[in-house]
Amino acid sequence: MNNNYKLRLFVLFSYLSVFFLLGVPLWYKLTTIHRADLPITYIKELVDNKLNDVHLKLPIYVDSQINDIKESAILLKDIQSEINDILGKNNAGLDISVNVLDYVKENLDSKNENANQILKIVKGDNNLKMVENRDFFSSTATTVEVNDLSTDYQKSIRELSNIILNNILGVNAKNINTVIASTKDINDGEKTGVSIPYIQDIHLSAILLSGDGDALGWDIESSMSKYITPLREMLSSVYHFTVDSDIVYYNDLNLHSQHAVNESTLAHILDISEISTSDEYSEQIGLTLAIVFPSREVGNNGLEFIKPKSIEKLDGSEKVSNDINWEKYLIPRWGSLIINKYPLKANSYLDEEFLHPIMHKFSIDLLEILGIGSDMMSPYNSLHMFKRSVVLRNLLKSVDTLQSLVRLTESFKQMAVPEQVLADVNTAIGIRYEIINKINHFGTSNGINNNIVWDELVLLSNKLVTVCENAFFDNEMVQQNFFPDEHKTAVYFPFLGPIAMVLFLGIVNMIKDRSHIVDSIK
Amino acid sequence: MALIEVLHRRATKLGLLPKVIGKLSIVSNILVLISIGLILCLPLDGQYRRTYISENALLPSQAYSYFRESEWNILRGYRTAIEALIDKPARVRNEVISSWLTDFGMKHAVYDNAADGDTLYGVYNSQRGDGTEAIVLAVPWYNTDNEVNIGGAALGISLSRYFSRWPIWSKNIILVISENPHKAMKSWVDAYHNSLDLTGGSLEAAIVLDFPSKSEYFEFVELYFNGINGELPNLDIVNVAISVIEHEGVKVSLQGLNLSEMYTSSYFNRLKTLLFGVKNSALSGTRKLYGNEAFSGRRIQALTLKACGTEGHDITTFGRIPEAIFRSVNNLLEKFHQSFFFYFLVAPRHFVSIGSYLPSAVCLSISFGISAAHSYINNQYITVPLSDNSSILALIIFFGSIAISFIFLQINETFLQPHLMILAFLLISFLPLTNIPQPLITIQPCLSYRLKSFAFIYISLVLTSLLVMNFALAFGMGLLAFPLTFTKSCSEMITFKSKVINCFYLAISNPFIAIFIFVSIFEDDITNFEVFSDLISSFKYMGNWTWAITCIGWFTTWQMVYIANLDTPRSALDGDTKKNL
Amino acid sequence: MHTLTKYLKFIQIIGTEYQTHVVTMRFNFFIPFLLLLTTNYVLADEEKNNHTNNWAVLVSTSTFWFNYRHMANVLSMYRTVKRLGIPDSQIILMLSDDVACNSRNLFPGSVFNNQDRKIDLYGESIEVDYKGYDVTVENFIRLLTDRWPDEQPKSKRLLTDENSNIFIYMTGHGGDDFLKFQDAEEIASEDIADAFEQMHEKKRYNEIFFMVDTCQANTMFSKFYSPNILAIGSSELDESSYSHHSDVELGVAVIDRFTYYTLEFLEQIDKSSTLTLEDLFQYYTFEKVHSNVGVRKDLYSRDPKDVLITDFFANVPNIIPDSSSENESSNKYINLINLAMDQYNSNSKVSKNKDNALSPSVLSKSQNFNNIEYIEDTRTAISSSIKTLLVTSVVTLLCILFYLQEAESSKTFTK
Repeated sequence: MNNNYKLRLFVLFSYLSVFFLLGVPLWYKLTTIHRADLPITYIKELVDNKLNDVHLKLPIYVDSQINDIKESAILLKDIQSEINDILGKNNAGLDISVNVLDYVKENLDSKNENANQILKIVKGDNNLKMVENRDFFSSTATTVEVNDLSTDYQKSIRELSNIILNNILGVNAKNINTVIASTKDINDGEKTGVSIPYIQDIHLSAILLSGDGDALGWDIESSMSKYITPLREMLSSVYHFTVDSDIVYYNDLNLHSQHAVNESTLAHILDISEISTSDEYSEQIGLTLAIVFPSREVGNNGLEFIKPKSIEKLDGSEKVSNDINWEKYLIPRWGSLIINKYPLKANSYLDEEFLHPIMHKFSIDLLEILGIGSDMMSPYNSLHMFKRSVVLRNLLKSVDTLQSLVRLTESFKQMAVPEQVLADVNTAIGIRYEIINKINHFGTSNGINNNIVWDELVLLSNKLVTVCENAFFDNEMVQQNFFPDEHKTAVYFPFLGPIAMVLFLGIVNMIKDRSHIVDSIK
Repeated sequence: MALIEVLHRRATKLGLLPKVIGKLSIVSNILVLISIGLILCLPLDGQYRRTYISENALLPSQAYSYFRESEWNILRGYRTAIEALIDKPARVRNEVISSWLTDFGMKHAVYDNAADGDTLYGVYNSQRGDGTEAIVLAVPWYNTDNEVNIGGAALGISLSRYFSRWPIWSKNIILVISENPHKAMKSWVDAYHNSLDLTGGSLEAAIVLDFPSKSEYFEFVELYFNGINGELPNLDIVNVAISVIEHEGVKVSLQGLNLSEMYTSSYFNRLKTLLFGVKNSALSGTRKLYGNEAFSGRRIQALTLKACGTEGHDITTFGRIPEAIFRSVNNLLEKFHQSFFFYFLVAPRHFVSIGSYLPSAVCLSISFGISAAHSYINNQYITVPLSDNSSILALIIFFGSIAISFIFLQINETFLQPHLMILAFLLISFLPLTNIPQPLITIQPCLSYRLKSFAFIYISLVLTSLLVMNFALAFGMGLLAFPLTFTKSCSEMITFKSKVINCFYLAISNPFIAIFIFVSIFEDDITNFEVFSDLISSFKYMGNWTWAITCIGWFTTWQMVYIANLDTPRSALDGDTKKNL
Repeated sequence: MHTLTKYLKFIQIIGTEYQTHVVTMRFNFFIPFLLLLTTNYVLADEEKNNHTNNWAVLVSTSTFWFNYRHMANVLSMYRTVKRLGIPDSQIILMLSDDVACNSRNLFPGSVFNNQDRKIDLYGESIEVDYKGYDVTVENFIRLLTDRWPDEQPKSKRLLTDENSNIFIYMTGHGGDDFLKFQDAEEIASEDIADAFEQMHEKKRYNEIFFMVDTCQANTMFSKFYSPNILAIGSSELDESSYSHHSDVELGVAVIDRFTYYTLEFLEQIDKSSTLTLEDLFQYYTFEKVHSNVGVRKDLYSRDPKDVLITDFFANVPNIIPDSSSENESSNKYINLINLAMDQYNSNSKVSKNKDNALSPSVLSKSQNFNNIEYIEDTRTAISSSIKTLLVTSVVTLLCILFYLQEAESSKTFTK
């Protein structure tokens, strides 16, 4: 009887041990969803202090040609304190400081002259007025004519500081606020919906459309290389463009269909869906230049709402008038549309002279859609400001993406989080750290080359955004099909329930028997 | 838990259990009554359901049928040509018809079968379908009443020609013209699945057309769908057929009932349809074979449409019925699986499913089980352990009975003499009345009781395993074999009258006598003595298992009970009781 | 709206903590100022609430021939949406079965949504993005959340951004909180709601208009919780949606009631229409649709009275004509362009100079090249002759060896 009892006890314990020591861990391991441990608190901190660890120091080189060395040193010091004052009042959340340095003294890199932003103060008739000379248009040097500094010195200093902040560096309060505020506009263009948000890879298409089927040719390659390629080169550090061209026959965007086409109904009749095929290129955004000739069905008078006009062209130094029979329309976030009044004759060839004004207008539209350019600054300076804003906005965008990722993983507890996502997040944090280090340590005395560092930072920040997007859009994080807990109980209960019942009753029996045996021994 | 304890205590107080055990035979009888009662309840309002199409893909009569006047002319042409072929031998016939099939592009071949007759069949491959499945249009040249199926043949050919003009088929169409609807058709079906070269894929459904009348008009359609061994086609195809027939404005009759019975809704009409359905299902294979039985056993949904009457609707109406059924079956992608495979129709648009009628068969088999328990428990031999000699002897007798049944199974129908057989069994049944077996064979009462309990357990098992697949056979066999439980062991019989009654029960529960009586009373299509040769021939050629089950299940049981009822010598009886005391 | 609620909560919290009179005084000052700021913000938000592109996701989920009407439903919506200008690159069309080429189709290659068969929906130039067995629950969720492996082509992805209005149309067989895909799996309404939340998290839509035509359709959008979604379904819980009519030649139903009346309404819309979504909602009645159409508006910020049909169904480009002259506003761009041209020209001049400097050596290079050519020729000639010499010598050697061997063996034989 005792032996029997011992055997039963042994059996019971072995069952229990298998159940708990083997079964439960196995079940747990096989049914839990793999969720990698994302650095949630770190990301939350990043979100709360979005750009708090960025300490941007921008150098400005002042070349004062109106006074001698000693006086200019005092002038520079006064300007510096005024600028610090202005920047100190701005509590937009981004730590920007400006170093006012003497142009003559500093040993500047001569290879890349346009890297350094310079303020030249010259003697002139007007007081405190910017001069739009050759330097203004082709370099980062801004010249200010000063007549008399001594009268109302403070006002002059303040004026000079404002010129530095607004017209050269572009770090006024409005710009900073718009960069880090949640609306994320950088220019008015995005508010009105004309320009696109920054994205590195863009495709440009040039399409010639004709309503009829006669053979056509155009000088697109040379026109493109003459007018678009320079732009591409200039913007090559921030935008990567791919270009293609196409001729489409028997398609005039539906212009021939209705006779009462006028400008107000144009949007309702025009059908640009056929030429909006984005499948032919791999970039996400494509901008188009479409040149349309209506088909002969519109008649000899052509499209009525297009009035011939003449535009002025700068040919060398004289203005030449050009008669054109087309009208340009800007379609926001899509490109330019050139609608010609008359249909094309057979075997027409569009030469460069015809395409030149079109290309010019398209370049303007392109820049408007990209959102580069500032009214107040010289082109070089506006490019610099654009690069800086790109880097800052990319930093913000990446943190936003990481925050969205964290919010997702927290709200969808059933979603698996693969290791790749964790690796991406860590890479992203690493890149971000590198970028901020480079920003913060830029501007220390050694006179590091300005331009290249910002280019490098643009590339790095684009990479950061890509890595963050990859982390968010990881293809293994498909939310598991809705599997409520009731289903789990329904599946597990009939399976585990009986076994557990049997074990439990066995234990109860054993305890009863044990008490019997104890009693019997007594 | 506590409630059960209370009930348990109450039951023991009343002494319920011993009482029930004492009256087990009555319980068994009550169960049989319940079983019959359940069947009788089914035609009551509320117990049956309205038919519906389970498979949404079928969409009967949604597509317009175009087999109308222009096709009628073509049909007339074929009909006149067929009338000329009536007396020609099969070879000539098949050649002529083959040439017609070639005319409209049907591939054809002849299945040569000297014993049963050559079968001509044609395969039309669907133009755009994938050709892995086929629907069969079967036309037996001589129908089940041995009339020439002129209208059916003409319809079959003209329908095939009509179908070949339509591009919408996703399944192949096979036209089969066999000599008769039973052996020839079945041999063709078997050959198709085994040896034939020209095939059209797996057979999804089969429609057999029977239009023997010389007139071009018919009054109503009789629909037959009972297969061999209780197999039925999927209820969906039956519902589709009935829905199509009624959509054409034609009345449909089931199980051979007449129209007024079908279309007057009353309890008795429904009961009649139900019971006839049970009877026809049990006897299918032995009674008239309409053609759809040839397709049983292979998951082919087969129906027979028989046109009756000579006035009313024209033959193209009859042709539109298979056309619409074919269009519906054409819509399917999967085999029929949605609706019931076990059901009984109580009216064209009402049915009962297996859940409703199965309890009665279950009750029957349980009643046999309880009889077995009764034989085992309610006598003084309950204390005798199971491993006793008597049990072993009972088992030996059991195996011996099975062996005899097997021998019976091998009887060839030509050598069968039904009259002799019936007479012989009658004599054997009444033998115990005389004193002949007494000195030769005596059995111990214990053995007698054991034999009976084993016999009843055995038949209960047989019935249980037969319940779902062939309800009709199980129900019929159970009911007809039930008098076996009324027989009493020798030790309980004292008067001559009780002995006579005993032998009477034995006689009427003899399988062959019972079948003979049943068929004589209820079945018009089979002449009573021929039922056995029909059973054996359908077992051999049509794959009907009724004969086998009757022999091995029922006959074995009867044998064992018969032996159990043989006289026990008085002295042995007294001796035994003395011993046990 | 989000910020406003945050501010209000902030006020509430402070209000409960500080009860002094002084603080409340400060409050009376504070609140209007705050509200002013926040309303500005809110207004700015609403001004910004415009979309710039339109996308459509049209899904049919059922297979088999007798579900012809679901394909016809989806193809009809596809035709409408294309007619109103949404390009194929912005339409994702998912057809779960091919009824046009089904062998049971009496009109092969065509799909009709009306028994008069006037319009062939499957005619020319339709682009089906997901067909047949590709239409699965997983692919649908991946499409909405844009979680694909790298190889997924652009045409099969939903590349929307925060200014996209998306019209999502689903049809098939559905039930209580689920939709049947391909007769084999189901998608739960919670799955769609979670997918929309992921889209909202990543700002992949401006507004979504969700239309579903199945049985018990209204349950499909009962679980949505992300903002800016407007949903409409064809029938209530425990209600079926019905088909409109069948074609007796085809033998199947060709269109569903809800979609039929939707199309009837949309046929009168062109790109310039000013009809609103409220007009569409009013157009459905129980007598027409035979089921209760449900609309979910609580997640949507605008009033359907103010929402144009073309906001979701059409792609009306915003065409800005050229400003009269190149005035100051485009000066900033012209400056940049001139800068680019100058830089490019100066760079190319430098490279041209370099080229000129090299010209004598270029010439000599080419001459050298000719020499080299010549030398190459002779070299090749020599090498080829050497090759042939080698080959012939090897061959002759082999012959000699063979002959010798034969001689030896013959000797042995004769021996």
